[in-house]
Amino acid sequence: MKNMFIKIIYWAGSLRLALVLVIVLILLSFTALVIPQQSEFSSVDIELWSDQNTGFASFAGAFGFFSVFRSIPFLIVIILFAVNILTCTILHLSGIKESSNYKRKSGIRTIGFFLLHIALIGILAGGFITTGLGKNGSIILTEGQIFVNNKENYIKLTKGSFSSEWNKDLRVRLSKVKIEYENNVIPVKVLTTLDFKSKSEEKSGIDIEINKPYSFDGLDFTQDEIGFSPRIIIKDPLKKKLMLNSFVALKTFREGENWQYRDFLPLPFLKNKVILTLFPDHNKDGNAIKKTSELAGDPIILFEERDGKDELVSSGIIPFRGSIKIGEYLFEFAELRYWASFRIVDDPGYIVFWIAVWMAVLSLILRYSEDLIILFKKDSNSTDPVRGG
Amino acid sequence: MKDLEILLLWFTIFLYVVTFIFHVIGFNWRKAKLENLSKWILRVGFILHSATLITHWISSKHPPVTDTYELNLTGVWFMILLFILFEYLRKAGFVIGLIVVPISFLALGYGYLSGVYIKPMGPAFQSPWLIVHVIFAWLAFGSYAISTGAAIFLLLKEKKRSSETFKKLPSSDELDFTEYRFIVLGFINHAIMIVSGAIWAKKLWGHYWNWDPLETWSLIAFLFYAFYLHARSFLNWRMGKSAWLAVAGLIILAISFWGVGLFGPTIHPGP
Repeated sequence: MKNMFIKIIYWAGSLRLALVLVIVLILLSFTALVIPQQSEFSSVDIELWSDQNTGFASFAGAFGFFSVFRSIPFLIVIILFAVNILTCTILHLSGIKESSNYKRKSGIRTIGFFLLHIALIGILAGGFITTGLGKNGSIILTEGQIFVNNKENYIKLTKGSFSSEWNKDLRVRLSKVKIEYENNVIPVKVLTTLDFKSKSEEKSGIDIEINKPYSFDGLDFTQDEIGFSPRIIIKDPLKKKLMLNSFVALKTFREGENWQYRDFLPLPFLKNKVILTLFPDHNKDGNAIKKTSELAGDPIILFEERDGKDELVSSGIIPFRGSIKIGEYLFEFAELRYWASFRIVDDPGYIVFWIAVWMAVLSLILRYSEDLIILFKKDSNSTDPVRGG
Repeated sequence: MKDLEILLLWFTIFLYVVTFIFHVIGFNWRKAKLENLSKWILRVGFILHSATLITHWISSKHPPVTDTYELNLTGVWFMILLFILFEYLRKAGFVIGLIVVPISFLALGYGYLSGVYIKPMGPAFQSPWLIVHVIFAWLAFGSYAISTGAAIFLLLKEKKRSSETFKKLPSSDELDFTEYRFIVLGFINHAIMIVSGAIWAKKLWGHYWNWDPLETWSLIAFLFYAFYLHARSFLNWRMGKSAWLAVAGLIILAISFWGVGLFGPTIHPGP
């Protein structure tokens, strides 16, 4: 029984297992590249791929390969990896096991080796803490809108199984979006101003920029995408009924330097679909409309009504603070604001990860310092202390 | 300013191509003078390359590290710098240039074909971590490329032992150690590149790792080189076996630099 236990311990800390796990990890990562992965917002790619690969799709689905990095096989490999590194480090540290080639020739190399493996355990631990206890969500706010920290208010949310309860008292208001452009075309600075309020704390006028997140109440707020949000009012003049009065956050499509702001507007009282395209500033060349700037100057909305076959049924231009009649309805473009999206992240494992990765880099340098020092020396063979191992 | 830059770029590419041609002739027909001349042409090419880089930096008002052209221009500069330093300090291994120099002019040509644009730095790129990330990415690639050069000549030397041309190459041991040590250097740079990228990603996207195709492929390459180092240190894989691993490693890495678009869209800009 004791022999069996020792055998298992030796196997768990063996180099052979480490190499097998590295290969399996490479193969799993490769799988994630060739099989479409569950995206944040849709599963269209997976459906298309499954239609083309019907035989393999059920197999991939059963093993969780549409979300490889959250699948059971991946989790098992990572756990085995952690066990392997831990056991190997303990066995070497205690002097029980020394591989034939790994002799303690140099103190620095040995320290580097141990620190590196401890750091790897730290990196994995940081990842586990974040996956289990963390939250990662996306929200969209139009200027003036308030977000209440509730899971229903996120447009996308990934949450660890053991993550903390929601602080529903936390409120965030987007007060302003400011964008600076070069030549009115390429954005060089995007600044959003937010007001935060929780039970114990209140902060107003906090500026967040891309690459400069802000932490409040244990959550990191990172600025993401931006776009335009026109207020659309739809009335039925005959019935004297208000059908819609809302800000519509139009999607921002980036095609190189050319940005487009358009979206599909779901209207239950119309049988055809409606697509709105915003031109922040424009001039007209005959019937053609040309966008002249990304800054809101003389904005207009191109209205298109399309049937089930995507054929154009009707179209029109809604001027700013003006309206047009389409069918029996009156469409009004009442106001124009910006929207901004934010990622809200609770990442309790980051500090462990951060310390561990820098420790890993430093220990790698220690581990291989002798090899690096002689790298650029002439005729280094004669002075090589380790013969490249 | 852009015209000057294009002119300098074309001269750089031309000199790298001439270096390669002279080097091939010098190596194959054992003409030492021609080989020596190619060494000097490479250095002149590198000076012009530096001038191209500075010209672009001045016109765009930011370090050339954002789009495909800029990344290839900067990346190749680091690779050639590393190779010239190595060759100058070790006084051996210039033959590795037969692998490194063609990679350089092909990458420069690819960068040029993607379009030379002078545009401001978008908000996402305005991070000090970007510079660290890009520099170490290319130092890693340069190190791995030199290592692969040594590995290829090691394999050729082992295969054609009787050939007079290959006899004058550095010893198999020297090539083997060069291959190993440049992988070590590349591996450390690769680690710093991944760490700096993770810190940048945390500030940019809120998360340090997003399993984006480029990140994933870069991790695959990193794991592969970790496999190489373990196999070499603990399983005694030397000479032929490790040389084949080094060659395979560069192919995997090249995909993460230039071919990852084949695996679907990535939010991560790359060369």
